[in-house]
Amino acid sequence: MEILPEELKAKIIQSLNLEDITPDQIDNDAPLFGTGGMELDSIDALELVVMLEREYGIVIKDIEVGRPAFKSVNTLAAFIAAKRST
Amino acid sequence: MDKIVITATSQVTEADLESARLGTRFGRLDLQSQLALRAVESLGVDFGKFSRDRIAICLAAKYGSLSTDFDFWQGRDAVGGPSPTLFAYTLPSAAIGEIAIRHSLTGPNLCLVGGSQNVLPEAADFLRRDEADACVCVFCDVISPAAANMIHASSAARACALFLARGGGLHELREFDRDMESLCARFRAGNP
Repeated sequence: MEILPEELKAKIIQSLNLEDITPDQIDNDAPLFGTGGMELDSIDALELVVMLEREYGIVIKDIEVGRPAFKSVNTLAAFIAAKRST
Repeated sequence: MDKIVITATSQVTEADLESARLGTRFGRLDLQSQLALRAVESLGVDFGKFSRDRIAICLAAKYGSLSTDFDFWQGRDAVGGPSPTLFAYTLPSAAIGEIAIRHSLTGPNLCLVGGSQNVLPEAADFLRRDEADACVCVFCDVISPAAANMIHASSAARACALFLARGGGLHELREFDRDMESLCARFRAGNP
């Protein structure tokens, strides 16, 4: 099942309590972590792992498996879609 | 040695947070850290006038991190577990870290759990021992209704801050200046 990036961005904003930012201000291909994007940190990463389980029923047990998925909004949406189709 | 003086004071409540958020990540902070940061911001001190590794932070949290501890515990049955972000604030000293990060302050720091009566003496000692040239002092009186109910207390959400330095200033620190809240209130009323 396809996950709309807009829906995912809204959930990211909500779960991370980001203020003064709207989904359309987030570039779907910008890095979630590190410079040049949303500049999220390690605690945000854990919060996103919890969000994936809560919102999509996806459990990430090995962070190395999940790491490529957290590259950007688009990669995370694709990861969720792939997990839900299996 | 120069006199130790109070150069600025502030008092904030939860209502002050409505109109003055401090950036995109402000919502991530627990209420105690938000109030502490807001109180420090309201001091209006230019920390750039000092060497930032010579500015100490001394904070007292009346109820420690009880409200956040309670929220974290309440989240234990949630799908995925309790919020990892909340976990970071289950330490009373978390607000010191937020202040230090926001203002790049790398001097010594001290966190006390309980009333404000030991904040000013400890802060003054940082200056007397020449471990710092100035000290940001913060007192947080923060407890959520749920946590307050648990210990039969009244809920509260307020903080006050003052800035201690050497030399000239508003008011020389006196031995009996212990209660930060009343001291800040007196400054606010123009009667230190």
